[in-house]
Amino acid sequence: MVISDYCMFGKIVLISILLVSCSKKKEFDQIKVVGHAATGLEILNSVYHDNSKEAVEMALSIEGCDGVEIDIQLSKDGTLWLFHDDHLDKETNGTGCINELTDSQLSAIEYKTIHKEKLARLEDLNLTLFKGKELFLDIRHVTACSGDFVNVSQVISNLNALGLHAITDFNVHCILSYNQWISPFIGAGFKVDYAIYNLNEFNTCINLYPSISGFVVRNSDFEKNEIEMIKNANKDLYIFEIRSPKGIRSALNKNPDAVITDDIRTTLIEKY
Amino acid sequence: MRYFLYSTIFFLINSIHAKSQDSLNNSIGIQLGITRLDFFTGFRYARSFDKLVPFCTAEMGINRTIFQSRFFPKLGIGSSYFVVNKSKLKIGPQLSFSHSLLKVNSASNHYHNWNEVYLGGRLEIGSKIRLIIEANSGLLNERYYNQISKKKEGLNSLGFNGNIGLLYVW
Repeated sequence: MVISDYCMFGKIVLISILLVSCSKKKEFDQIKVVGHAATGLEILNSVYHDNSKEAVEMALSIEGCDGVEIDIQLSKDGTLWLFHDDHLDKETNGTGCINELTDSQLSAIEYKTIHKEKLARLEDLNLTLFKGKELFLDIRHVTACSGDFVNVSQVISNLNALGLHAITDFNVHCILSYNQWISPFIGAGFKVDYAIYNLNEFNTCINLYPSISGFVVRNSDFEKNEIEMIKNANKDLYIFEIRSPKGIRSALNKNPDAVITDDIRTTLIEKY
Repeated sequence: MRYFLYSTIFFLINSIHAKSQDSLNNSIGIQLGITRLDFFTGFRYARSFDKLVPFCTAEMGINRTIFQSRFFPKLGIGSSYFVVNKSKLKIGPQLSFSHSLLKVNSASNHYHNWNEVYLGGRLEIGSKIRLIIEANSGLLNERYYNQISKKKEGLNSLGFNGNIGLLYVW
């Protein structure tokens, strides 16, 4: 091969890369991008631990991110804390469950990460950062260690004390997975999004609670036509458990109101 | 930071010493690696001064560029110092710096930038055609436009990469 052949080969490679890189994408402007557990659960490229205050602030600071979903659990003192797992042992330097520990005990706990983020209360979050955004609260109804049900009134009074029932600057969604909690939350003035796993659950729920705001579904559980059916009932629809480019693309193609993604950057690349 | 400063001084001192050596080799190769950001593949050029081998790399992120149609380039420089420098086996530490950029949100004018300063180890097996294996870890600095503060901000965390590849030496 002479030098000109190498040059031609180089040009072909470069042009191919540019063509692949610049291909036109479908428009998904109306679909919101929401960070699952703030910047994603168990995601390699995340700087901060999921559900930490730092992760929430980082997610909200990324251009194109429309909000965050966070996991909420009640402490022994009746305060709402951000934490995903059932037990503290794996991810933090604490032991046991959130509901077994007092606020002062939880305040001393850090995640086992390089940044050693502290566990955060819901009240620790700077709510002014949420202006124009979406805040999804995935609220646990069972205490992991004892298996007892959480006192729903205590949860609602906590949310009310923070003024979240009357917020107008941003949207607060309560994600519930226990149907007995739907009526008390709707009664307290909250937007309720119920987690469902098949169409039968949707039909049951819509008949029992017609004023429910929307539904949260796993991407793998629902096809595009089923999503359309739910949206045609005038209910909001949010898809979660997506992280790979292929999964994100499939979720966006189903045209939900928002995707609750584990990889915000990958989702933004697919969206824009 | 002190860790990187000492390493840099170590490499500079050795590069002065290495310039007096006769053996001079060029190598070009392809490599495939994993980082916290993506899988990367690309080219590597190096010129050896006895035990010291400065190099430069040009790579692209596979997932972003190929599977997401968003060009994700990365350029790097660095130097290896082979403490084991046999004709068919070379092992030693290396220091590297790389910069990558990606337009995450194409509706925006801002790029995400990543700077990586890594210290690690490198193994080369073979003479004319060499298999390379390396692993590095260190500072991963991410710079991006913060839509709340309306300015570019940086975040530091621990990064790593692992590469395998093939080199042609002449």
